[in-house]
Amino acid sequence: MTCVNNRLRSARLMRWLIGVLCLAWLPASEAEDFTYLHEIPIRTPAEGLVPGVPPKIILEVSDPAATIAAIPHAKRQGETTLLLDLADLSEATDPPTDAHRLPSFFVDYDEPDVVALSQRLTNELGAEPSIEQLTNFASAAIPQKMLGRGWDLASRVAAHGEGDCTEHAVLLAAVARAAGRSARVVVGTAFVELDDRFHAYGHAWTEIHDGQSWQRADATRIDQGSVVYYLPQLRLTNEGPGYRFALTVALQKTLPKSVEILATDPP
Amino acid sequence: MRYSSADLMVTPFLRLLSATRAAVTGHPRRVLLATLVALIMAGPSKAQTGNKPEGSIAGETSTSVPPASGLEWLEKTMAREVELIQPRPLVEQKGTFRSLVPAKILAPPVLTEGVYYTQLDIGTTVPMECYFYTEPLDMAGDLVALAEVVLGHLEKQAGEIVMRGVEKIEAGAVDGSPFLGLSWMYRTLGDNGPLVWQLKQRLGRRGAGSVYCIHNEVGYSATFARAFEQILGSVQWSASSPLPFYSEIAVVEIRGTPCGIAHNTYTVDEEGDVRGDQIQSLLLQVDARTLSTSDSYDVEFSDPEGQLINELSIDAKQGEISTNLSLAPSEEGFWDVSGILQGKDFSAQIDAQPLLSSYGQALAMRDFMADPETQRGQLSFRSWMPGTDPTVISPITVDFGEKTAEGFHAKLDVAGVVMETILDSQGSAISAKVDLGAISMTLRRIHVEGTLLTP
Repeated sequence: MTCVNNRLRSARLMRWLIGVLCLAWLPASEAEDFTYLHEIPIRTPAEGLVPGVPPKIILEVSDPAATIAAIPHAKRQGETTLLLDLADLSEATDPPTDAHRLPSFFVDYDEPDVVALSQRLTNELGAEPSIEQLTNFASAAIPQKMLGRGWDLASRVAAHGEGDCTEHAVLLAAVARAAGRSARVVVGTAFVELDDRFHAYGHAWTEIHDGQSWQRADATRIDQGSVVYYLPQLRLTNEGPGYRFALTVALQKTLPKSVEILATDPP
Repeated sequence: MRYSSADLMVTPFLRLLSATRAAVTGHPRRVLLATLVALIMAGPSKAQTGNKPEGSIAGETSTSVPPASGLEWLEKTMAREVELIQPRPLVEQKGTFRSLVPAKILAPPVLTEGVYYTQLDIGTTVPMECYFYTEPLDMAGDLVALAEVVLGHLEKQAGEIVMRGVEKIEAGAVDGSPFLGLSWMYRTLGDNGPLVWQLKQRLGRRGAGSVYCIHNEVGYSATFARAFEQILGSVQWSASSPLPFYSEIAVVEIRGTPCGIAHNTYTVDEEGDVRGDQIQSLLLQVDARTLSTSDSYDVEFSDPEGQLINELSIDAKQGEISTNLSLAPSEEGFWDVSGILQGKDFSAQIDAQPLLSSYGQALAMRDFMADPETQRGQLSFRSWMPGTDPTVISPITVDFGEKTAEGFHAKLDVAGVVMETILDSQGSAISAKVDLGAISMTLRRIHVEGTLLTP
């Protein structure tokens, strides 16, 4: 019984943590059973799911054509629905460009607060930190895991040390670029398998190029302690003063209205 | 007319109240009640039994609830209300303001630290307390900041606040004056054991000033609301502000829950130009006890035909000004954008072209709708929208659909974000709805006064 209770408490804590760290535009109310507004309504089958086996899902979106353009392996199913196999999620193959290495208005690693943070990174981890080290460093540089900030610039994140997934994603991209790597911010949906159930959240993370390919890096570390499937929907290219609105425009078309998890085929 | 700093009704973050007399309480939204109360009442405590205990805050006796008293008793206590007495005048000694209050005046207005404070007996055990500010406050940012001050003071009086939660967020208007409301439930652990409290607070803007009221007693939510609305709706300041020829107020809702207010006014200045003031305050609940605030202000000047002369846009997040940008024509024939964007110094130039102000856009839509030939067509214009990208002129397209008894149905595409809207014959939005994934945000007009024709 204690184990069950502990597990339940742990699952609730994990859910809270994931809730706090995932995409935070418009979170809402409720005390114990808090429903975050970035939480996507999801239907899970009562049975037929095999833990750890990625299921197929049906996404309801407002603009299927735009969503397929963003998620090429999604297949049109109905007028507003798409079928997607979470086993098919693959990393991007496009080559990095100068824009992925240079400072920008959003990923402003040339600002003093990020410069100072990057200097600390070099002092602690040397000139060529690994992606894992960069990810853990960015995570630790944001001690206040909280909603309430909304797409802050990297320099503001470095100064405030607080935020949710979007702040983690941009700060990691900034310190990675400062360390000489190509990096970019990715926005999409995180499917979290937790407590025998799936949860879906709007989420943001980072892709860092290791010289061979893009590697996903999530400074929120929600991937530690639970199985997470990342569905990228937008790799941020507009890092200028209109970056927030560009995100809104893209996500209005592709952000799922609801998700249905289909039963996993027997192995 | 060009703006000056005096035109900006932007208030600095957090006006500290005199910490010696803040008192507090609240009332939960029905849907939240069970969860919130259960949470507040649960947990380790030195439970009290028996009769209703009485606590004391700021020298006044206040009713609060011991967790062991049970949910039913608390629900009954929360549901209690009283009749308000006939309004009587409340006049500041030097005539700075006057108002009608449906209460016995326990303490006449006293000026402390730039704020007028008064205590009112509205028929409850704990008096209602009101603060009159002779300047406009940031409705969202200041409401939350003041809550922190008040709750911090209460903690000193009633014991450590061991748990607290947002019970209700309200947005509305009374007689053309917008307000936001924020109520809390909280639990203290003081010398008398654990107690549950409610804090109700409302902050409204009227003319040149603001009114902030609180009440710290379980129940009487409707009583407090009615009293506040009478006070806000009747307050008059000695310092006059120009009367708008048009004013509209809309409530912002997310998934049907109020979370903000938008207030637009248009006035004519001494040169005959039209000044537009647009204020938006959003209060988003981030988790059970945390709120995210946003206050934005836009001031624009245009000629009577709606051609933009210049504009200023300011955003404050969490009470901190993050953006402060101006748009003005340069001598070289461009539009200059300068100021602070997201905390950074910023400047840019935009290609010269005539721009419509928000007033001009409404006029364009009104004229378009009035023409039977084009009623169901498409109207496009371009606008400077610092909230989208301050370095570009954003395209706006309005696709007019059918006209029903509700108004003119239209699809509005603002630089790629699409919203459904219903417009009145003046070109002003009666309602608007934008979907973002599973989130639906609506704007619902609750007050309109005047016409968009300049006098």
